[in-house]
Amino acid sequence: MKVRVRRSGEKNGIDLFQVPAVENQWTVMDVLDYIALNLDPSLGYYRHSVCNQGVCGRCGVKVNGRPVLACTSKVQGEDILLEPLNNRVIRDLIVEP
Amino acid sequence: MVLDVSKVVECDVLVIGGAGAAVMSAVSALREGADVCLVSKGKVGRSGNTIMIGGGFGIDGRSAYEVCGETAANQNFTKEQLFETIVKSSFYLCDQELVRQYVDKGPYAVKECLDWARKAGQKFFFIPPASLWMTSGRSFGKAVKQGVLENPAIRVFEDTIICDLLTSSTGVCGALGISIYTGEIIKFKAGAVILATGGYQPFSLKNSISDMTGDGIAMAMRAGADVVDMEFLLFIPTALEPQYIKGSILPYLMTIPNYFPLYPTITDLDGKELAIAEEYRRIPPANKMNKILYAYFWGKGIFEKLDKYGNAMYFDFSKYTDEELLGSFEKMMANVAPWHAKNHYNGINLYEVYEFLLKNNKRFKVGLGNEYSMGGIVVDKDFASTVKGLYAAGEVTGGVFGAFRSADGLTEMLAHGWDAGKKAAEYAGKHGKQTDSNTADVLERLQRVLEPGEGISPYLVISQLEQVCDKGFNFFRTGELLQEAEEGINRLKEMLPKMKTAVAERRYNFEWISAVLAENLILCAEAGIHAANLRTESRGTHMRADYPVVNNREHLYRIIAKLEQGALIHRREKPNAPYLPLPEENVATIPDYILASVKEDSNHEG
Repeated sequence: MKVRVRRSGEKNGIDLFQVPAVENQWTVMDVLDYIALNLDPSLGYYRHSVCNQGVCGRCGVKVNGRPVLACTSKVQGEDILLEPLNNRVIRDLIVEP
Repeated sequence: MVLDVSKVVECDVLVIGGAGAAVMSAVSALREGADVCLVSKGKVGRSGNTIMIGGGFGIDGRSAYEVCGETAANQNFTKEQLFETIVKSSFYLCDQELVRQYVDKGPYAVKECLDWARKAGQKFFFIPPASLWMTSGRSFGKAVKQGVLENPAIRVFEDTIICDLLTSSTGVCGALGISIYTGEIIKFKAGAVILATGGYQPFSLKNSISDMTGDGIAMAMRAGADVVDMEFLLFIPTALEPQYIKGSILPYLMTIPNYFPLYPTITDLDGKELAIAEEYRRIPPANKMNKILYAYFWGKGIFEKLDKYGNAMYFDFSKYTDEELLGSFEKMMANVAPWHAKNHYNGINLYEVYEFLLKNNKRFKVGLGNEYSMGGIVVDKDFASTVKGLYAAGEVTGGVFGAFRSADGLTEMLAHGWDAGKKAAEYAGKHGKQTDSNTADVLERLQRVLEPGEGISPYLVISQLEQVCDKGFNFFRTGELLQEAEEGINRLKEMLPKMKTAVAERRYNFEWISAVLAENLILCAEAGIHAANLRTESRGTHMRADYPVVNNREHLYRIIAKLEQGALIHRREKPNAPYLPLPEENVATIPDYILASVKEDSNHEG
């Protein structure tokens, strides 16, 4: 799966990652974890206090323009675009809490 | 770049944590007139294991009636009975004074939390026969948050991770933290510190929140405190698939006959049944010791093929017709509907799981996932650690549940906070604030990770730690595997000074934060693995394939660990047992111990 991620700061722009995600099985959080562990540990995404079950409601991100919780949203399609929820970007996909 | 302290905050009592134990501690300290700060890694009421609960928490029936005003409570269920159940379920390893405190103070602390819940408009339903309140993690979080809202004098710092405790020649006198979103370093100077940071879970499969990295336990050890019972970790059936529900306790809930009256058939991945032996099936389904039986009988099957399949088994519902299966899911939906979105349990659409089962021969992969750690910081009846000025409350402590927790983590955290806050405030009032001697050391450690150069990502270190623990420190253990795990830990310890982040950015650099978490989790795992290696018997959740006997004659002692000059030193102590005498006879296996214990209790449970 092609995963495009909007980056901030020095990497300003869109980064492209190839992720072996299984459609309708992996969550957006699975994809982000895969990238951070295997491809680019500098990626900023919400990860510091994660319930992974849709309880804490803090891992919001935009997928193809639609706001979702990363931990409960399943990835679909060949190509996805991940962006921060709003303009108050702190770093990459992280916005002000 | 040189790291420096951006802000200094002073208070009498510093509480570290963001859930039930922390808020109850903070409120209790405030009530004593202390100036209180609360620092939470996440958001208060939206972090910590509190929000991950399966549903219920209880106290004895008579106190539910007398203290909490539940008129339907079964008054024949007394504190004494609850006390005995907890002690026996701990395999007699608990500190009985701490159990007494849980039983005596729990009702008052629970009542205060129920008041918060009411004011926050949250649903907590009392179930009289079980003497427990049903709710959800999210509702419990909102109740806890209400405790902070009602006490605005508590200064709250959220999204701030405490990296280490600050110490003076006298004891603990504060803590140093990173504000996660800004990367600023905040120094907290305090008369007393209460750790309420939860347990440690070093495995890849867990059903707890990601906060459970043993921060408080490890920081306490670095400050010189004793920790205990680190070999005891609780595992329950946890979803592996579909991938999007991985980590959910849904499979555990599917063993509850109220929803799913026919027990699923449990098999290994080759289809071989992993049955619970007939004589142990008579244990009532509501008895929490079933968790140990699941880990024992199913865990044994998983363990035999661990190299081939990893931590995985099938939950097979093929004895259900499609309609029966749907009916069971719908019953569950109806039961959880007061707290969860329509057709959902937390973020999971239960119809989707039903559909998944239909497409996959009505079975799905389940592992034994880490739920709770019994071990932690040694505390006395005032919740003081062995280091002056340092207190602890909730899952971060060790001692109240010994080898197995049968009672409730939620009641535990509230009861502990009730007294820890009070006693820490008294201590701070008497001793005032000291000046620390280790701020520079902690800053240097944090800075080293951000400095440019070749190094190892902290993400990789944590991932490798999980692999080491998955293989050698899981629900079934042997001397050989534990030895391998100890060697794995030694290799990881060598990697710690080489950790580097990819970028030096301080704002929301979770790789940087992960360097702190990696150090904490590795120290906790080291203490646990070594204790498990020393404990050449089986007891509670510690199952040794090579030593199956519950060896009361030789091993009824607590293993206490402490850091001395950077090395972990372990010693043994007899459990504190002023009320119920310790057993002297061995029991052949863990299930036999459970069966005998349940038989003794059967009169109480009626």
